[in-house]
Parts: sequence; C-alpha cells; structure tokens
Amino acid sequence: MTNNSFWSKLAVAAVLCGLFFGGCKSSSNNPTPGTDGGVAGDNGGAGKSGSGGSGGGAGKAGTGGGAGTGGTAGDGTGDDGGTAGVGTHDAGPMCKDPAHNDCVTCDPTTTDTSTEFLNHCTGATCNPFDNSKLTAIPKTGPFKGKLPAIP
Amino acid sequence: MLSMALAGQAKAQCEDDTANPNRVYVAGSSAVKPFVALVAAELRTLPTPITLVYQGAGSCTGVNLLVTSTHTISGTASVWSSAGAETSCTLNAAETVNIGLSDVYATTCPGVTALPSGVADFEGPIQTMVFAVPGGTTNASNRTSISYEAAYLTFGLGHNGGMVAPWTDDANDLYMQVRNSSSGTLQMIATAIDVPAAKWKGQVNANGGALLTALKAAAAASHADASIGILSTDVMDANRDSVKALAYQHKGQDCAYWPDSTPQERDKANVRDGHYMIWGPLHMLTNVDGSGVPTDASAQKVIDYLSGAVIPTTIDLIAVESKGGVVPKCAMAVKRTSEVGPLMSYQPPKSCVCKFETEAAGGVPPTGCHFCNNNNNTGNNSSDCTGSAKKCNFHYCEVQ
Repeated sequence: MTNNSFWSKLAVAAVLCGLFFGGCKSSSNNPTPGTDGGVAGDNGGAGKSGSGGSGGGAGKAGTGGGAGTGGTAGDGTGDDGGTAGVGTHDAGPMCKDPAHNDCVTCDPTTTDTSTEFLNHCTGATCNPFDNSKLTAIPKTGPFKGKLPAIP
Repeated sequence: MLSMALAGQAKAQCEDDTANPNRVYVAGSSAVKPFVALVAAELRTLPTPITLVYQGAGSCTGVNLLVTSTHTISGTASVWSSAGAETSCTLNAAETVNIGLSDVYATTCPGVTALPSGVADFEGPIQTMVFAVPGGTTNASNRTSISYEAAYLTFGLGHNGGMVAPWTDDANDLYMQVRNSSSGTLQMIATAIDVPAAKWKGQVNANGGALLTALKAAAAASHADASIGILSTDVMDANRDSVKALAYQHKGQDCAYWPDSTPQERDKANVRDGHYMIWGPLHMLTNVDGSGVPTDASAQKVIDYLSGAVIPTTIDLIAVESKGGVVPKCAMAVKRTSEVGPLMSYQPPKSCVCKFETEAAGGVPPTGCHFCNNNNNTGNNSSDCTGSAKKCNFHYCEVQ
C-alpha cells in the first residue's frame, strides 16, 4: 500500500462513514474538530470523522474516544483539553467486512450477559458479529455499569 | 592444571579490544533485544567495526542508568559477531552506559518526572506490545481476541473477581505471565489498560524470553487455553511457531485488531495506520552537549543507525527492522507524543512504506508499489515513477 493508496482509503472510509453511519460515532464529549492537531493536556477529543488529515482541535474535558482509521481520541477526563485525534472514527465500515480481515468481530461465547462486554472469543467459534452491539458494561450485574477499582 | 582448565571455561571479557573493538555500552529494554542483535551484527561489518555490549535489564533500568546518579553496569553482557552469533561476556569493571534503551517514555517509569539536563531522548523504530497466548500447531490456545475491559479485569484483579475465565481460572494466577514494573512491555500495556504497573496480577518473569518459556511450558502441560502473557512483537514475531498475538479491542473501539493485517502477515498494518493501539517508539537516551549532540561519537553512530537518521550503506536497515518485528518511522501513517497517547496523522519526510511492506511480505512488492532505480534516495523525481508517486525511495516509488 502506498501512501497514496492509504490516504485514498481514508477518504473512502470518511465518505462511507458519513453515508452509512450518519457520521461515525465518537465517544468523546466535546470534540472541536479543527485543522491542526493542538498539543494541550491529556484529554483530547476525537478528531473529525475519517478526515485522516491534519486533525481536530484540542477538546475540552474529553472523556475518551474510539479509535479508527488514522487516529484515536484522547483518554480520561479533565478541564484542560488535549491533543485531538486525527481522522478518527470508530471502526468504520471497512473493518466490518470479514473479507477485509483486519478486524476481529466475534459473537461472545459466554451466555452470561454480565460479561458479554469482555469479548474474548475463540477461533473455533468466531462468527461475524457487530461488537458495537455489546453492552459496554451492564448497569445490572456485578460491575454496576463501571469497571471495579484495582485493589 | 585445574586453574588452567577453569580459566579455559571462564567467560570472555567484554573489554577484550581484539575481540570487541570500539565498544558502545547499551543497557535497558529486553524486549528490543532481537532487533538490537540484528543491528549489532551489522555494525560489526562496518569499515570501523562497532561492538555493541548489551545488557538487558528492563526499560526503566535503562532510563534510570541515564537519569540517576548510577550510570554504570557490571556483571555479564552480550556481544554479537558479524555473523550474528551472540556471546555472553563478563564486564571486568563497572562500565559507563552510553545508551539507555527504553520501550517507554522516561516519564512513564516510576519516579521519573523529566530528563535531566545533558540527557536527550532519541526516538527509534516503533515497538508494538501484544497480549500473547500459546500458538503453533500443537498445544495452542483457541483464544483470538481480548478487549480493554477483559485485560483490565484479567491483569488488574486476577482470579479474585476478574471474571475472565479461563485466564483467571487458577487460584494463584499461575497461567498469567507478566513482567516486573521495570519492564517497558508491562509499563506500556499498563498505560493502555489503566492497570497500575505495580498492581498487576500474575507470575513475574525476568524478561520476554523467560515469559515465552513459561507460556510454552504451561501449554505443554495442557493449560494452553488458560495461559496468557505480554510480549513485544520483536519477541513475538521470532517465535510464531509457539505463541500468537491476540487481537486487541481498545477502549471505545468496537472491533479488535491484530498488529498485522492478519495473524499470518508481518506488515504491522494496524499499527502503522492507528487501528492497533499499544505501540510506541524505541527511546534511546544518551548524554548530549549543549547543542543536543551526543557526546560519544560512536554512540551517535549507533543511534543514527537505529533511528534511520542515516541510511546505512552496508546495512539494509528497513529489512532488518521488518525482520526484527519493529517498524521504521518512515513506514508510519500516524504518530504520537505520549505513552499510548492520542494519534496524529503523519506523512514521513521520506516514506519507506513500499520498501517496508515488500520486506514484510518476503520480498514481494504489494499491489500499487513499483520498483525504481533512477534517482533512488536523492529526493528528486524519478523517471521510473509515474502518477502521484514520483520519488524513488529505497527503490520504490513514493509520493514523498
């Protein structure tokens, strides 16, 4: 893959993202897409979906974002904002294509709904599955909606 | 006679000027050893050979050797011949370390808030860390992927509330193989999954090689599915006959990715374009003068070779990197400036994407990559290249 084809791929991803996902999901709270990735604090907001280009502006109080082609959002919370992700969109349609084979989407093997989010599937039973349908962390169940603190 | 016999069995001395001329003392990351070994062998072929005297001690030890007041190593170390043969040698004296190698940023290490004046961090190729399980044709785990949440629970809580069977099945977490908190592999993954390095559950291994051995032993004892560990791809790629990487789904992602486009490839495609999240540059710490230039000329040469700042004439560095499981920056499409931090798009000033992908594919250029010779590595347009990729870099047409 040349650089040229890579950027073309990003551009296609961006278009498909908009067409099929209505703009891809971003899990950051307050991203402000821009033209140059700023470098501020730890908590960057997601960049503009699929731009793959020069990046979003520093987010304010971002709370983490989804990774995608060409970039990812920052992580954590805070007031200072941070370096924006670039070209960020969640997985995107390309990686949902089993034929593309660059992404693992597996039906959870457990029947225990409280741990479905764990997604540790086996090769023998790996069937295409939209992982986005996994419950992030169920509010009912042992974790009550969030991961437990490390003792 | 006895003393002569014992002397004959003694380890060679690292400071032997004939066997190991022009020594550069390097210590730190054990994960990067396979790559260091390949480069060390090539450095011995230079007109003025350089001998890397390497001691794997963990990334944060490598950082501390430059940051704290103790700058010396002693005990045993490794040197390599031009043919790549590793020899263990004994350090006669405490030797000052010229380059501290780390898989992680210095400030990721405990107690380090900044580099002292007179020490600089030169970045090398990209290193990738993976969750590893037994692989190969026998005694292989049938696990394929792991999510951020699963990793958090597995290594943060272990069997006690981790709820991630079968990795946490054993009451003593016997089949979870980890490293100590000096390890860059552990520190980087700890940052990714938000489990403090000092709180990891599992069995501590001295280095990646020991961890690999532990995984294989557990698999041989019918515990393949319950076994999991952490490795760098340097080690991983050299041992694909016995271990395999899990695809990793980072927080907020809805797919899990292997570092490579498939488990069989070695192209690090998902690292290079930002899908796979646990990676960072190799850090080479060394003493510098007021202008930021390394004070040791040989150390500078080693850093230039390892970083790709100088295109070697006798070494195909990109081929070495591909073979060694690391990625040269010139093959990256994203970059970051902090540990597992946000990604920014990156257009290398002199791209080597086609060269790297060709080497990763065993010498077969991927579709869209074209061989060239005219104006190779000159920066000028090449008559062999058409379309938008007009530059001939490392004998392949690139946009820039």
